Amino acid sequence: MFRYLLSRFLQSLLVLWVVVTAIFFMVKATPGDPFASEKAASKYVIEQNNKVFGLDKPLLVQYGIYLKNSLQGEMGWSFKAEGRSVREIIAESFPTSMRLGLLALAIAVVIGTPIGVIAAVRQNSLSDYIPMSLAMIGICLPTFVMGPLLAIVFGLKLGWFNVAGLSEWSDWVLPATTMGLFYAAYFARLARAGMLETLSQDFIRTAKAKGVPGWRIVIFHALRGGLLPLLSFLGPAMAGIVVGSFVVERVFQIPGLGQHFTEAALNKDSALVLGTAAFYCAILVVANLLVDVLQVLLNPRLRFAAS
Amino acid sequence: MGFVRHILVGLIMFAAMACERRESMVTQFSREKILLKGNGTEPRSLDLHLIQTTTEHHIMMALFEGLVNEDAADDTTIHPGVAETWESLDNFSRWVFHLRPDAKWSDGTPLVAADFVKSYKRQLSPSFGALYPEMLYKLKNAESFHKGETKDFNQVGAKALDDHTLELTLNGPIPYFLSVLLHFTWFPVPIQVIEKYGELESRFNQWTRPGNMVSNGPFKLKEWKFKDYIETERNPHYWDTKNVKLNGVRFVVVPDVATEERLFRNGRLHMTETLGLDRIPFYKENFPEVLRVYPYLGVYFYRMNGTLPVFKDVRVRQALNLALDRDTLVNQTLHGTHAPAYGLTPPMKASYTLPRPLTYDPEKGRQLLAEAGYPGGKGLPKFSILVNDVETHILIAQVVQDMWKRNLGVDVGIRTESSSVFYDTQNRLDYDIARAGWIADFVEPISFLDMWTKGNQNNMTGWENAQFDKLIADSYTATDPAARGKIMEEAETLFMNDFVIVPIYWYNRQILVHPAVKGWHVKVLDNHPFTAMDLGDETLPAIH
Repeated sequence: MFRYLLSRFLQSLLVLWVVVTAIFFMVKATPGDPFASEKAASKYVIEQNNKVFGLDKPLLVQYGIYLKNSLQGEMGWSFKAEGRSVREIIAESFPTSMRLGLLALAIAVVIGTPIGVIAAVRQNSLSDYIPMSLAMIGICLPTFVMGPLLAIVFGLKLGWFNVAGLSEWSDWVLPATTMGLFYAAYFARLARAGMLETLSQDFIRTAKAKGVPGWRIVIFHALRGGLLPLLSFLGPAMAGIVVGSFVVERVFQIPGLGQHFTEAALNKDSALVLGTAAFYCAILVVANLLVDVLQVLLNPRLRFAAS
Repeated sequence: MGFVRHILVGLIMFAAMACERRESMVTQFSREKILLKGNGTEPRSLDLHLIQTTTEHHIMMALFEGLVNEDAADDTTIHPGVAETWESLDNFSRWVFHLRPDAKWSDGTPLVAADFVKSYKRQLSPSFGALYPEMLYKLKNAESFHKGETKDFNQVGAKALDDHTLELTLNGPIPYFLSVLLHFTWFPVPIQVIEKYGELESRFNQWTRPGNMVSNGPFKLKEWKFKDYIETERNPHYWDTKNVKLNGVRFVVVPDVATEERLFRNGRLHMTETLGLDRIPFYKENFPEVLRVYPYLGVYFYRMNGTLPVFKDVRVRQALNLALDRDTLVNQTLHGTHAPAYGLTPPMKASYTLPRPLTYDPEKGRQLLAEAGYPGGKGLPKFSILVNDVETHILIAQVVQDMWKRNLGVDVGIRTESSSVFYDTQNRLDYDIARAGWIADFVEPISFLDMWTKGNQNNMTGWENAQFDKLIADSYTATDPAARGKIMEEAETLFMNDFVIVPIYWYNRQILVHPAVKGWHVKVLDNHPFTAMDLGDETLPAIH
C-alpha cells in the first residue's frame, strides 16, 4: 500500500509540472494585454508595467523564474488586484468555496443517492421514471437558470432567504442548493446504474433464495457494490465542487475562488491563471488519490490487486 | 418515522421564522446612516495611483479629498477642498493654492503642501508605473519627467512654497483647471504612511489594507473584504466632519447586473451602480419613483480604421454614417435608454453648440457609395465590426449590420473578442471598425476633442489633420469661454466632416435609488459627493 501511494504521489508531481508548464505557455501565447482598457494607456505606461511585473524578459527566462518561485511556494502577484499575491487570493477565497462546495456535496449525496437506489430497486415503475426524468432535467438545467430561479422564488417571493451575499448562516442555503441539485441529478443516475448492475448479480439471487428480506439485501449486500461507480465520480466531482463555481458566485455574490478561474483568464492575469489552475490540479490529484484508496478498501477485487 | 417527523417540524418552524418579516438591511443601515451602494466590479486598488475607472473614482471620493470639491448638484460649480482659497496667475498658467491650516490626514497628522508635491512625484516616477499619469501632463515638464527625459523633479511645475501654499505651474493657460483638479489623479496620498508599509514606489506596498490605510477625505477605510465589499466610516479628523451627515458608505462589489437588481429589491442596497436594459420597462411602469435615467457625459461610437484602403475614401465613411438610423436603434433596440448621437460631443454647455448634426439619409448614402465606385455595395472590400463580448455591444452591432445591409447593400461581419484582447487589438489598429465608448473627465468639449490629435494614444484611427491639431493647440490659450467654444466648434466640424467615426448614442445612466437617499442629484459626470448625501427613514414597498 505504501509503495502504491508513493508511486501515485510521484505521478501526481509529474502531472502538476506538465499542467503548469502547458498552461504557462498557453497563457503567454494568447493575445491581449493585461493593462489595456477603454481609456488607452500610453505605450510608455504599458512598457513600465511590463517591466514592473517582469513581462519584458524573454519567455524562457520568465518560465525559469516562475518555476523557481513556485518551488519556494511563491506564486507571484495578480496584475489586476494590485498588491495581492496569488497565494493570498487563493488562501482568502478557497475556504468560502470549500465550505459552500462541501455543503452542496452533502445536499447532492443526501438527495441523489437514495433517489437512485430507490429507482433501481423499483425499476420501470413510476418511482423510477419520475425521479429519473427530474434528474435528467436537473442535469440539463444550468446553474445560471437554477440560481436566479431559486433566488426569485425563495428570496423575493417567499422572503425566506436573502437573495445574495453571505451575511448570515441561512445565506448558504440557496447557493449550496443550486450547486447541489445539479450534482444530485448526476449522483442519482450513477447510483441507479450501479445498483441495477449489482442487483442482477448471482450473490443477490443467492441472498433472495435464502429468504433475506428485500430491504436487508439492498442495504447490506447491494449498496456496497452498487455505489462504487458513484465513488469514482466523487473524486473529480469533489475537486470541481470545492473550488467554487463562477456562475453560482456571481449569482449569489459570493467571494469564492470560482470567479478567479474565469476572470483571470479573461483579464490575462497570468500569475493568477497559473496559480488557480495549479491549485485545482493539486486538489483534483488529491481527491482522486483519496477515492482510489477508498475503492481499494471497499472493493475486495482491487484490494487483492493492490497487495 | 420519528426522524422524518422531526425534520418536517424543523422545516415548518424555519419557514414560519423566515416568514416573520425581518427588518431589511436597508432600514437598519438607514438608521445607522451607512449608505449601501452597489459598485460594480472589485476596484483594482485603493491606491490613487493604480486605478483608472469611474467606479474606483467613486470610492476615492469617499476616502480622499483634492484641492477643490464637487458641488452636489452642478458639475461646473467648484467648492473649496483642502485649498481654502486660490488665485490664478500669468493668464491661467500658474495657480497658487492656500491650503487650510486645519487640513489633516485621518491619523491626525497635518496635511501639508509637500504631500501634494510628493504625490505627484510618485505618480510621475518612471519606475513606478502609475496607471493614469497622463492627467498630470498638464503640469510643466511633467511629461518629460515621466518619460525619464527630465531627471530633476524640481523642474516639474509643482512646488510647496510653504506648508500651506502650493504652486502649480502649467504648460500653458488652462482656464478650467479647477474642474480638472476634481479628478482623483490630483488628490494627495499619505507619503509617510506608504513609506511605513514598504517602498514608496513599490507596486506591492500594503498601505491600502484596513488598519494600515490613512486618507484625508470625509471617510476612512473600515473594512475591505476582497470581492465582497469595502466599508468606510466617518473620518473624525476631516476638517468639515460636522457637516457630514452619513456615518459611512459601504461599496458592495456586485459585478452581475441581475444580482444587483435582486439585491435592491431584497432591501440590501440603497443604490445600484446600473440597471439591465431589460428591467427598465418594468420600473418605468411599476416603480418610477426609484428609477433614475439621466444624461451621462459620454459617447458610444464606432471607430473606422483610416489606414485601410477601404476607409481611405471619405464618401464610403460618410455613406456608412448616413445609412445609420440612430433614432430607431436607440428607441427600439435600447428601449430609449440612451440619446441618439448626432455628433461627437454631447450637449453640455450653453457656450457650445454642436456643429452640423448628422442626419439619416440612406438615399444620399447609396448615392455616395455609388460615386465611390461601389453601387449597391458591389465591389466593396469585406470588413467587420469588432466588439468586446458583451451582450449589448453584440446586439447593437447586429442592428447596425442589418441597417447597412438594407440601406446600402453592404455585407458587414461581426467579430467579438474578450475585453483584454479587444482593447489591445484596437490599440494596435488591427481592426476595420471597432466599438468604443468615451466618458469625459470634465465638462469641456476639449474632453472629447483633443484625443483626435496626431499621435494621441486614444486616437486609434490613424486620422490626422494639421489644421485640427493647430485648433486644439489654440484652444488651450483661449481664455474666454465663448472664444474657446468657437474654436472647439470649428475643430469638431473639421473632424466630423471627415466622418472618421460613427457616433451612435450619447450615454444615459440608469440606476435605482431608494427613497431614503437624500442629497443625490443628477450630474452629467455622475460624481456625487458623499458629503452632501444623507439617509432618511423612508421605506419601500416590496418589489415583486
